[in-house]
Amino acid sequence: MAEPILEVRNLKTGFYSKKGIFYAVEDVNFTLMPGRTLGIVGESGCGKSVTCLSMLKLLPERNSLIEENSSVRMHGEELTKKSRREMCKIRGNEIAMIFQDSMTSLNPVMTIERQMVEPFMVHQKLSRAEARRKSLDMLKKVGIPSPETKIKQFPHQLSGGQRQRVMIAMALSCNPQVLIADEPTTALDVTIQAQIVRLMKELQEKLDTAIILITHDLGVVAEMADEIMVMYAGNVVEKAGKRELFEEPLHPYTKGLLASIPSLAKDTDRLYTIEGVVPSLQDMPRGCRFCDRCEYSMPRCREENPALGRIQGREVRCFLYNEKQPKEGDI
Amino acid sequence: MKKSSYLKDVVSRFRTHKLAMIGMWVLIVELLLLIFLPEIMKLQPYEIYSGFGAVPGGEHILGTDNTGRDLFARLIYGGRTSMYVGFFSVLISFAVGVPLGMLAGYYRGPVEAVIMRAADVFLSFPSMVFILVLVSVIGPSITSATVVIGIMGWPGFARQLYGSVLSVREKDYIEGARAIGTKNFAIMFRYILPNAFAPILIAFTFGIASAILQESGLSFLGMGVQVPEASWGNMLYAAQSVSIIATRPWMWVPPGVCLLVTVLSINLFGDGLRDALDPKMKI
Amino acid sequence: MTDLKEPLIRVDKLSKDFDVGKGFLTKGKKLRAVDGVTFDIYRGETLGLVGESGCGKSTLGRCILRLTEPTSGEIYYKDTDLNRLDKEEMRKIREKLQIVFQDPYASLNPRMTVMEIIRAPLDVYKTGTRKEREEKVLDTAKVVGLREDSMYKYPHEFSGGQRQRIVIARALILNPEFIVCDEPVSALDVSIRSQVLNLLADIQRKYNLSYLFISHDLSVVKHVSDRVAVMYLGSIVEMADKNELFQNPLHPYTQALMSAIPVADVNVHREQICLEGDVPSPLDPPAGCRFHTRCMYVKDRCRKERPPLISDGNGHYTACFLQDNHC
Repeated sequence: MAEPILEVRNLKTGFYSKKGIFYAVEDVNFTLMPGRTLGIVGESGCGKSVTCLSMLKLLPERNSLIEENSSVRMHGEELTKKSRREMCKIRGNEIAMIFQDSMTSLNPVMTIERQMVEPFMVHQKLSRAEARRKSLDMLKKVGIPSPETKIKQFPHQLSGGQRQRVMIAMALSCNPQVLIADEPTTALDVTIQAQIVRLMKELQEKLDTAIILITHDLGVVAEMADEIMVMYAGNVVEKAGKRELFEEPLHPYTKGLLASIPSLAKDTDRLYTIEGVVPSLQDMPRGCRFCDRCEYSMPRCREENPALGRIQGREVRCFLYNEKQPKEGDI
Repeated sequence: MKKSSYLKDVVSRFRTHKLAMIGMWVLIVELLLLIFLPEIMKLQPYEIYSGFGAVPGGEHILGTDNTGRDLFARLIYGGRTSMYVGFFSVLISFAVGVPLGMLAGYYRGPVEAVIMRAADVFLSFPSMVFILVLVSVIGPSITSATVVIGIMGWPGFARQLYGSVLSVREKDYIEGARAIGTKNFAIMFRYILPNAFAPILIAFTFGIASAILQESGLSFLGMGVQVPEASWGNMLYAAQSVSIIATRPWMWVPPGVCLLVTVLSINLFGDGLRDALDPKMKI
Repeated sequence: MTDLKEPLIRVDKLSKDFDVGKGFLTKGKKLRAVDGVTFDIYRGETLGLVGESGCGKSTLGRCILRLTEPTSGEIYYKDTDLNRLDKEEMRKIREKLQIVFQDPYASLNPRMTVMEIIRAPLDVYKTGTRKEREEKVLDTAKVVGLREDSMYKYPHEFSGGQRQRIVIARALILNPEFIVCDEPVSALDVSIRSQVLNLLADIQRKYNLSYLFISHDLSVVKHVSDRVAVMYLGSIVEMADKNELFQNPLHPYTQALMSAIPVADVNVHREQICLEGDVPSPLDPPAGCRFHTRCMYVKDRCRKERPPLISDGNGHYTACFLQDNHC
């Protein structure tokens, strides 16, 4: 396959607080290939959104920092060292983002047209008429019925599903190579969610966009992603191809997660539960972050946090699989 | 039993607010002076001494007024009056406004319409003129000033609380309380009031500042506290003539400065309180 | 299902209208959120209620407890028509009918300690001495898995899952017979969800409770329910035994809904029925069958008449003319 679009190495992001720096994301590595979808799965606070925001340098500089040796390369170009201005050009143009809540991400006092036309005029220096024509094109592409009337309306006049379509149209308007979708279907109803998932898959095929899909919904990931990265408490705990992950999850957390969702296919009397709660950023255990809730935890797990080790072409952060662990840091 | 950590948070946030801390300490010192100084120094605000219009110094620190009363003693007693009127008039506004605002916000419908329209009517009177008229009908005195200012102040509290109640009553925990069969009265005071109280507390402090100003205004116009009783307002009233303003500044500068410092301190304190109680509410 | 003959809760042609945009001088529109809903819930049974947002499922749940006053229809608890009760009688009967809300962050009074919150129902009904009440609170807290040392903390010190346990304890302490669970796990993280679902199942078995379990998540509903009702735009379009409904969905909407759920299993390959368009606004619902604007089998009759909810004789109810023809 071609060379990767995006390479993330050693990403480590922290937030300042009164009691010092807390790291919300540590040691995140991944590579994104054109036309592929990477799913990042995890519960709230596991660092999946922070990962993407720090890649785009969208976190407020006032209270957050990205560690020195973190690296985010797009086509070999380092993004972490770019200035605010340069990042602005990249965002929207080469990397686009869609958010969960389409009601707050669209400006409520501007018509769809004004919001859509702008990026065309700014990034591609088109005239207003041309930009408008392109916007209508995009709306048609994402399946908005009667785009000529909808484009003159305000966000609140559209339904939730239509707003999400508009968001996707706006995100794809400049032909980005990477699309980051942060919980794109969480706020939508099941039937609408199915429409949006199908739309994103179709568009990806047509435009060859690489997608990073952030979600807590294992079902959506199973439908869309090629590769899946499971995060827990700021760490990547497992990374594998979709089929491998669902058929044979390795990390105890992934296992528990898959076992704890009720299944439509089979009847279970009791659901599997992962006891306890996610540790807070303020007091992370010294060892493995999952050890307090893990059925297989060993004395060693309390002492040191395992590194992400390779096994059969996939990666997992657990002592069960890589006893002869290399020292932390080299993978 | 553990102390509420909410309260701890509030105190620690308040402490970081420098101006508010200054305001608070100024008020504490001022209150202590107002309470204890008369006892310690045996001040006689009503006694008429022989030399009227005396220059500051000697026996009379700030001199005497046109009738020969000690100005420093009057300044301290005037402060007591101001605080008294400020606090109790706001207490009256509070006692009237809070229940009405609560009823209007909780029951909605006709109750709401009657109470809130009445508040609108009250607010659309030019309040100073109205107070003047009322006071002249019942006759000026400390009590009448307090009562009238207090009654004119209720719509502010009612509206403030009404607004918070409207947002709190839609919360699930109110419905939860109803689902366990809690009576309306208990819902209002056990569930809604504690969650709608912060803005009211803040309004209370600001209310005191404005009531003190209103009292001074009233007294300055001769319709508030009457001589021989002292208040900062009527001390200023006594120093109205151009010749006094120009030649005997000790008669009007001290009450003016006291008034300014007090009101400013209360407002700073209120600002800090607002930020501490609700960090998101910054206006 | 212990006693099939006598329903604990019986809902008959329940409707709820909201006035929308009605002001001092303007005349508003009527929004029919719940439209002639009829069903029974038996003792010890869970009836699952699924539907998309805005279909009226939460309003229905609240109407049954009269937290929202229904516009018309009857609700029977045993032999009592709840709609006929006056305020005081209703207040007393609430002991037996409880509710668990979706958002555990909004359903606890932030100014009360856990002890006060769970004790509140006992205070309302003035049961026992204060000491007895506190003991009862500790017992109930143990049942839902709350630690004793957390009793004097405030809600904000707890995670979502723990808060939901507090809510459940409060609902449980009066020994209710019926609990409306309004999306009790939707706001929780996946790994916490199963803890709460198991807890609900445990206490149901222990106290022989009946649930009306409202959710938009079909896999959760399938897990917890005995029977399932599917709602669309204010009315029930299909209701059947859980296994019957999931194996043999008859209404086109149910079929589409089931095929639309993303499944966390790479080996399941399904033919997806993708519904076109959006749910019509309940302010201006389509005439005839409410679903005809999105239905792939739509016929002329569907545009004019509303299909009634008809049983197939084995407790599988469907509101669709397709079934009518088969019979």
